[in-house]
Parts: sequence; C-alpha cells; structure tokens
Amino acid sequence: MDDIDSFEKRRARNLVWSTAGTQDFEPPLLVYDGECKADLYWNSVIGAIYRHFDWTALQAFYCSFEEDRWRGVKENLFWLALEQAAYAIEVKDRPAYALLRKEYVQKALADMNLEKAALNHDDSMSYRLLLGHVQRINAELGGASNKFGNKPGQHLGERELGLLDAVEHSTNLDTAQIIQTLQTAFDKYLENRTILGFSLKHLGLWGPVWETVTEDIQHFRLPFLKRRRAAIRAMAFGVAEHSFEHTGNGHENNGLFPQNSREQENFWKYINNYFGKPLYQEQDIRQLERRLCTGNDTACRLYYTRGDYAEKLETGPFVATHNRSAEKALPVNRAAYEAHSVQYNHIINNMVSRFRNSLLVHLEQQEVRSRSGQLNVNRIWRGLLLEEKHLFNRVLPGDPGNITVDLLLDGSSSQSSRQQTIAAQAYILAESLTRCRIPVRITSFCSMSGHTIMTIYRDYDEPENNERVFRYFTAGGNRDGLGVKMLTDMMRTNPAEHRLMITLSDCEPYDMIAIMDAPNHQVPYEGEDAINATASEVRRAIAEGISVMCIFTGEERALPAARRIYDRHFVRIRNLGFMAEAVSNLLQSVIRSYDPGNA
Amino acid sequence: MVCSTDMLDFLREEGVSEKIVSEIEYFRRHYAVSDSEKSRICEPQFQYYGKDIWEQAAAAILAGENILLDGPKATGKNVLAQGLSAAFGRPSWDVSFYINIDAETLIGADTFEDGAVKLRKGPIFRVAEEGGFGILDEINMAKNESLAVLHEILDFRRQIDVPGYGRIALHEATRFIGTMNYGYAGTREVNEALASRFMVVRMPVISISNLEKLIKTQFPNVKPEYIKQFALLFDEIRQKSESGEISTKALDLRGLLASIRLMERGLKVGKALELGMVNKCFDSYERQLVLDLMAVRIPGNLSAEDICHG
Repeated sequence: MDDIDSFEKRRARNLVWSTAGTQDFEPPLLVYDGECKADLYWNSVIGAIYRHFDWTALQAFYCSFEEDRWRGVKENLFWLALEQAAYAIEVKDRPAYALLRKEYVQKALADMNLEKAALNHDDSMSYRLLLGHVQRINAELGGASNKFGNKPGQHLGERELGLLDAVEHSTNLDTAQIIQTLQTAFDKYLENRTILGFSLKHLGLWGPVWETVTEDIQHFRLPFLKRRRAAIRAMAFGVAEHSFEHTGNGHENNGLFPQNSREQENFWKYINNYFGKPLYQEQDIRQLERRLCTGNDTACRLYYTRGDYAEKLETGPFVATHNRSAEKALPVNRAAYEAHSVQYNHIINNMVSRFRNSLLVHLEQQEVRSRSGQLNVNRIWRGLLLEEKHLFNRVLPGDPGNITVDLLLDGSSSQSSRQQTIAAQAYILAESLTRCRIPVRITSFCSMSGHTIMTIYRDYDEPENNERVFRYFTAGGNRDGLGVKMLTDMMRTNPAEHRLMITLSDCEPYDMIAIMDAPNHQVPYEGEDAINATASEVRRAIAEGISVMCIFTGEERALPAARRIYDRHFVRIRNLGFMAEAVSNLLQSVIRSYDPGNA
Repeated sequence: MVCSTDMLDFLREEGVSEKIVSEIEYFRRHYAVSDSEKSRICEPQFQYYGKDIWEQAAAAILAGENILLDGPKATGKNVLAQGLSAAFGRPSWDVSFYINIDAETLIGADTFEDGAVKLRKGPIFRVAEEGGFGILDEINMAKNESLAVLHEILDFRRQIDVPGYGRIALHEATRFIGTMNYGYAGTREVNEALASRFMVVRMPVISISNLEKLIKTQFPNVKPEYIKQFALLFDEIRQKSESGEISTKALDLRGLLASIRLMERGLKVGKALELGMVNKCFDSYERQLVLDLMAVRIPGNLSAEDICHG
C-alpha cells in the first residue's frame, strides 16, 4: 500500500475531479487496484458521488463509524450504496459508464474466490457483500454465469442479504435518504443481534459490553489489540486512500511549527534576522501558501526575502543566534572568489564567447539566393541569358527572441562545504549571461522549521547586482520540489519567449516536513519520495514552457536522482575549469531547440 | 464549405441583429471585388458560433476598425476571422507571424521578371490594393521589424510606404484582423501602440452547446448522444489544461473533428481519438490523463455503426 507512486495518485485525483466537474476540492477517497494503479471506474464514481450528493453530510455519517467494531463492513457498504446511487445518475450522462461497470464487475468476478468469502471475519463479510453486489449487477447486465453459480448472493446469509438489499435500494434516493436507509439497515442487522434468543437490548447497560466481548472472542481480538485504521487501507473493492482522515494540514501537530502567537512572533524575528526582511506582507504570503503549499507540500509555509536586513535588528529570545548571516557570508565568498579571480575571469571570458557563439551559430542570419530580395547585380546576366530566376539575395534572420535565465541555488546546509564554490559558480554564470545581455535572476532556497525560504539576490533588470550572490549562505534542509515550484510561480509573470531555469543542486532533497499525501504513513520528504516530488515539479515547469536544467554539485551516489529529476538536462562539474564547456553545451542544446530550423 | 451568401443566412440563424446583417449586405454591395480575387473570398470549413462575438466583430469592422481577436487555444479565432472575410465578401490574405517574417515578406520585395526588376507584392500590399481582409495570425509573435510595418498599416493615415515604389493608400474596404493567444509561452508582450490600433475582442471559450452545434453541422449523421459526449470530452480536456495538469497539446478542436471524420470512415472511436488528440501528447503522464478522460466518457471500442445513424 505504500507503493502507490505519485503518478498514480495524480491519475486517481484527476479521474475524481473530471467526473466531479471541478478541481476545487481534495478528493475524499482515492481508489487503487491490487497493483496500486488508479482504479478507473471507482475513482470516477467517487467524482460522481461528490457531484451528485452532499459530501459534507456523507462525511459526517462516514466518520460516525470511527471506533465502531463494524467499521469495516459499514464503510464498505457505505461506498457500495453510493456507487449504486451515483451510477444510476451518472450513466444517463456517460454512456461509457455502462461498459466500465460491466468491465469492473467481470474483472471482480474473475478475481474473487469462494475460499476468501468463506472466512469468518469482518473483512470476509465485506468481501461476501461485494461479491453479492457484483453478482447482482452481472445478472442485471445479462452477464454470463460464473464460477459462483447462476443465483446471485447464494453464499450470503439472511443478515448479509438484508444489508445488500439496503445497498441496492439506494438508487434514486437523495443524500439524507441514503443515510437513513443505511442507518436503518445497520441498526437492524449489525447492532441488534441476539444471544441465546435475547436481544442485546434486553441486557440493558451490559448489552454493548457483552457484545464487544463476545465479538472480540469470536474474532480472537481483544480491545487492547485494536488499532486506529490507516488512511490508506484495503477495502473489499480496492485499496482506498481516505484523504479526509489525514491529519489536517499538519501545521498543528508535527511540533515543527511555532505553537502559539508568541512563538510565531519570535520565529519571524529570528528568520528576519537570519535571512533578511520579508519581501511580502503576511496576507500576501498566506495567499501564496494557499496557491503553492498544496499536494506534496501541503504542510509547508513560505518566506521570501531579498536578503537585506533592517538597520536595527529584531530583539528577543534566541533571535540573535544567526543574525546577518548573509552579510557575514559576503566577505568570505568574495575573498574565495578573489583568490582565484584570474582563473574565474578566464572562465567568464570563455563562457561569454561560447554563449555568444551558441546564439550566433544557431541563430545567425543566413543569406540565401532567392527569387526576390536584394538584387545581386553579378547574377543579372544569368537571368537574361539562362532565364534563371534566383537573382536576388535574401537574408533569413535568426532571432533568438528574448531569453531569460533563472538561477536557483540549493541553499541547504548539505552544501555548506561547497558554499564558496557555489557562490563562485553562480557569479560566473550570472556575469557571463549578463555580458551576453541575457537577463538573469539569481535565487536560493532552503527549509527551516517548516518554512521554505526563497532569497532573491538579483532580479532580471539588475545587471549591476551580480555580486549580491556572494551573500549566499547555507542553512537548514532543501525541499527541492517546493523550491522549483516557488520559482516556477515567479516565472509565470515573465513574458520572455524562452525561459530557462538552471538549478545548482546536489539532488538530495530532504526536509523535516513529511509529504502530507499520507501522513498516517508519514512519508518523509527524503529519498525516493522527495526525488519523485521534485521530478514532478520539474515536469510541471517544463509543461509550462520553461526549460529546466541542472548543474549537479553533489556526490556520485545522487547521480541516478539527478537523472530522474532532470532527465538528460544536467551536467556534473568536477572542476570549475570545465564549467564553461559543460554549461555552454547545455545552453546550446536549449538554444538549438529554439532554432526554427530545428523545429 | 459555406459560401459567402449563405453566411448571412447563418448570421440570421445565430440571431445577429438584423441591422448589422443588413449593413454587412450594404458593405458587400458597395465594395465590389475584382474577378481575379473572388477566389480569395473565404469559404470557411467551420462556422463560428456565438452571437455576441459576431456582433462585436462585425460592428467594429463596419465602423472601419481593425480587430484583434484575443483568446486561448481552440476558441475559434481563425474560424471567426475566416467567417468575417466570408460574411463581408472580401478576399483575404493570411499572414502567420512566425519569427522569420520581416518587412519584405509583408510588403513586398524586388524580383526579376521578363528581364526587368519588379516589385513582387507581399500580402499586406495586396490587402491594401484590393481592399481585402488581412488575417494576421499570432500577432504577438511578430518581431520588431514586422511590428514597424504593422504600426504603419494600422495607423489612422491608412497608407503604406513602399521603398522605391512610393506610397500607396489603403483601399477603403481594407481591414486587418489580428489573432493572438496572450500569455502563450514564447510570445511577446503586445505594446500599447499596437493594441491601440485595434478594437480588441476577447474570445470566450467555446460553450458545450456551441461545440455540439459545430459537430452536428459537420457530422449530421452522428447520434446526438455521442455529439454531446465528444463536446463534453473536449471540455474536460480544456479544464485539465486550464488547471495546468496537462499542456494544451491535446486541446485540439481540429483534431477532434478529424477524429470523428476517421470514425465515419470506419476507424474505432478509441483509435480515432488517439490519432487526433491523444497522440499529440508526447509526455506519458499527459497521455495517460487524456486516455483516462476518454475511457470514462466514450467507450473506445465503438464503431461508426454505433455512433452514427444508419
């Protein structure tokens, strides 16, 4: 169940959204098949349920099963009833639904077996009910007889038949009526059972206790062994992920965020002194968070700064621990650069000429012979004597359009040993591009106490500010996916024809805030999951027309991750001396892709 | 194909104000078209459905203005531009503003004919001369050199300076219809000077009912329930594209119509839609999302007999 990859999760969400007709909600349930692939039929049914019924009321009813000893059976029946009801409405608008349901039923009948149905526990009861349900649908659709016999529900007892009837009666009912029908059936068949001819009600207050004890003995399960069910759990009809059972937005529970307004105030002072004054007002930040802190980054918060400090720093407990870090990093980074300035200047010159060549070679103006254009007097005789038509020269211009480059530096503490090198690399790149009159913006990101902090060192229209990148310093973790997402968002307002994002990263994303897709399983933001999350954001940026490439600054072990995130669009630079060649080759490949001749 | 006389009937059917339709008729009578250019009057393959947009665009043209149709992909910008050319009965010249279009391409350049250097007239020159409609496609892709030409021809002075050949005045019936997809990746900002030379018509997303109407007109044999499904499928792809889940590659109205044509020719529905729409997504994730949308909307194994009337 933990193997559901982000691709299938997005597929499942999109299936729900498509049938629901809106994307303005988090799907309450996502369903996957036994191979953890998004279930085509069930997810679209969930969308139809959301579209046609009052989900708020349904959710309240569903949550009332919590801690109920029949929770599994009730949950399964709940979804079967709603599937029945939603199908009846949706099939009128979607002819494909009849076929999808038929395929679903046939597959279910082929996959199910009597041995599992014969077992004696809650899950088997749900299984038997589902079997009865799909058998009845199969009979309705005139399906062929199957290994379970011709008579639907012959494996069911009286109680189970009663429950199944309640499910099948949910057609043409509204939300309140469905809830009422199910509640009545639950009361009749699941709560009010008799022992030795007496109704449990006759035992008064002891009834529920007796029921619990006997059921637990029957199922070899004692109360202290009961556990809270996971948000992703096996249901009779598939693996279901209950998004509404995830622990809120995570802000309040994980202990990483300031817990009260005083702590929050101190934290803001701390971050203000550490990284620089905030670029946006709090309400603007909240708006950005609502837009960007979604999906894998649901629990995160954002902070944007230009890296400038207030003249007078904030005061308070702990707030002075790391104050003015950028100002402290500036002389260190600059001195390291100055120590190799001859070599670095050579690299810049080399890079400038390579960039210019890239632009010229691939986009140079071509002069061709033509039937029109500028008359080539040397060829007039050919027209007169040879009736040749191509007597003109015509210039086919190569226009690169406007290209902008965004540099995104990984500012996490995993880069601390390379701080001066990265600052130098970023400066060399920015300076080379600036000399080619390509607008550059330099940013860095890191994560701290649940906040992803974006520092903007230099904007497109500030060619004189390349040296501000020497204020770069490292701290905290690196939520690469969110960093890419934040920069992509900033690049949306950039009207340039060709937008290029270059990340300088070790491709080892790590953050304290877990991916909130499945908090009950608490998927940490590290390893495969973090790499997938980052790759997903890079893919989104590319889908928006942004070219993304990476200058890989990490270790050998992270190379597969770099490949996964950036495909072939990354270079590893072991030595700064090779940087000009490597980066210009990458840039050339990007520029070449803009060349209409290659289109 | 719709001939230009039918266009007026179509406009009436669409509910366009009779005053505007009768003024279009007057415009057509007043400005004759030379026989040699009659073949350039558009016979649109598709109709644009939308009374309000028709009225806005036609009124602006009648008032002597140039219009800029601004809207995202698949909103019918070019269909409307061709429809206007047909409705007003004017010959039209299409100019697609890809990056290599320069002033010479637009106005004209020297060429050599019968032993002499002559001006080979470009599309803008011909539009000016014949009183045609110049359809300037993706105008926000125009580079600066082309923009200078556009500023001149769209100016209130209504004349073009052709170096070496003097200045020519624009025919009274000449109009320019620009199209653009603002914010589309790889396009430029439209400057105020250019925007001020146009009346800007914001093209709305085609409604489901208008899309149904379009499909029905093109494929009268397709059963109404499937026409509805095709329209809804297209709308769902648009929603996915607008929400950023997929690119606009699969949002291809011409592709959808071509797919239905293939279905009529005997290809299974699923395969035809793959050829016309799904296969335009080269990213496997996007492809899968579009396939999912199709699977829950239209059974892929349907054939022409299933979706068409006998």
